[in-house]
Amino acid sequence: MFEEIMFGIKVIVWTFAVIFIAFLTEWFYRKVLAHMQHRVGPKLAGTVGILQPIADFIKLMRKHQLSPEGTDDPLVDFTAIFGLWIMVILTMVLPIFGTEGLIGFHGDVVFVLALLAIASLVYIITPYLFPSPYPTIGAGRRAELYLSYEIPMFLAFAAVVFVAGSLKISDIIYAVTIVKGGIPAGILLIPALIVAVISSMARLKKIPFDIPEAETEIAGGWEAELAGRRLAFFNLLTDMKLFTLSGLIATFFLGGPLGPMFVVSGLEWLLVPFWHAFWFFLKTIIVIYVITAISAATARFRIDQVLRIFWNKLLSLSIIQIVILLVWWGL
Amino acid sequence: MIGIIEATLLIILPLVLLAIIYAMGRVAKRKTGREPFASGHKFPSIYIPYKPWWLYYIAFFILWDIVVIFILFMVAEVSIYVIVSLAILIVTMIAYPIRTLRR
Repeated sequence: MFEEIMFGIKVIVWTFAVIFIAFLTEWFYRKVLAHMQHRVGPKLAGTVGILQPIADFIKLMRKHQLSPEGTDDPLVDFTAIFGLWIMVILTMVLPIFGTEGLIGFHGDVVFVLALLAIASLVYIITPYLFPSPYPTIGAGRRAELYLSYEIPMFLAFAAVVFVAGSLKISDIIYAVTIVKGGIPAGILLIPALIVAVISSMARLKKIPFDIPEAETEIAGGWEAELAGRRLAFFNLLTDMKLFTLSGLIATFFLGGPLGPMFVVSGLEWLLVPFWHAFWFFLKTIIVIYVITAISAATARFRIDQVLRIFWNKLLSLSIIQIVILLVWWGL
Repeated sequence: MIGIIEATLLIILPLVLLAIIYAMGRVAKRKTGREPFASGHKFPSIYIPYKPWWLYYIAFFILWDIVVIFILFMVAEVSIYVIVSLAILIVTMIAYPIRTLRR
């Protein structure tokens, strides 16, 4: 019984910690984006504006909840909570303080990919609950985008699983260290890494793939009718998704929590989790930085350009990646 | 491996916590039935005659891609399953009524 209580406490602490990390992720994204655009970015709340995302969240929670006539309010409320809940569960699989997350089991990779798919569906269904043209158009674009990036992204992750030969994340973190025929897998997986980063940007609706919200065309698109606490929760969901996807890319392609460790004997219980967390967060921050840099340097694509990129180029690249790995495996 | 109690806690606790945080938000709504859209102009709410019939296909697609990728994951060597999965992948890709293929 004691173990169950401790596990429950861990889950509660983890939930709050991951919400805080999501706020920090948003701050980092906004600060880096502002720096690249020669702006200051968040600076008023807290030191160097680090508390700005929390202030924004509280402000939105205190605002009126606008809802057009005919909206399915209970279902919108449910999707707001449900989407965030999925992301919290997803973060529990990330190996932050060790080679295994808070939960880990054989097949957790499929669990992660399935939850990511369901989270995307939340973004598509929610706008349809509003009787307004902007969210409807945004949802349609989101669905088209989803159909485009899903297969290349899954194939990119499948490439790593193929190398690791396991469906468990605690085994997958070692995939990049495998050497066969004198060639390390980490080098061979670079095409899959490129596909995963670009697909993640589309999943996150970051520029140049922000066509579902496109402020200048469809006034925010899928989130045009969200207000108050609903908007606060969906913003938090997007931040958490940025952290989770970057963490997954770091785990699959960069070795996650693996890295050099400087451990003093007698303090292993403290220093080993510290170094695991250090390497995991460092790699995750690098991925977030890359995503931010691409967002800052590019302009929005048209929907047909995006579909062509994903179906013609990235899908081909991910299939070529699988073929390369099959040849490599035969060495 | 987590047990049933841990799994239940894992599902219930974050959901309850998030629901509590969500409930702390302001619920009050505007009284009028004429709501502003994003432009700021007021006009009556309208229903879009466009029905998202293809939403079914997206739900189907999600189930399909999880199953296929799962098969791909399970087979860590060249076999008929890999080839068949890739064939299904390509055929389905062509079969989907996406905008680029309508041209």
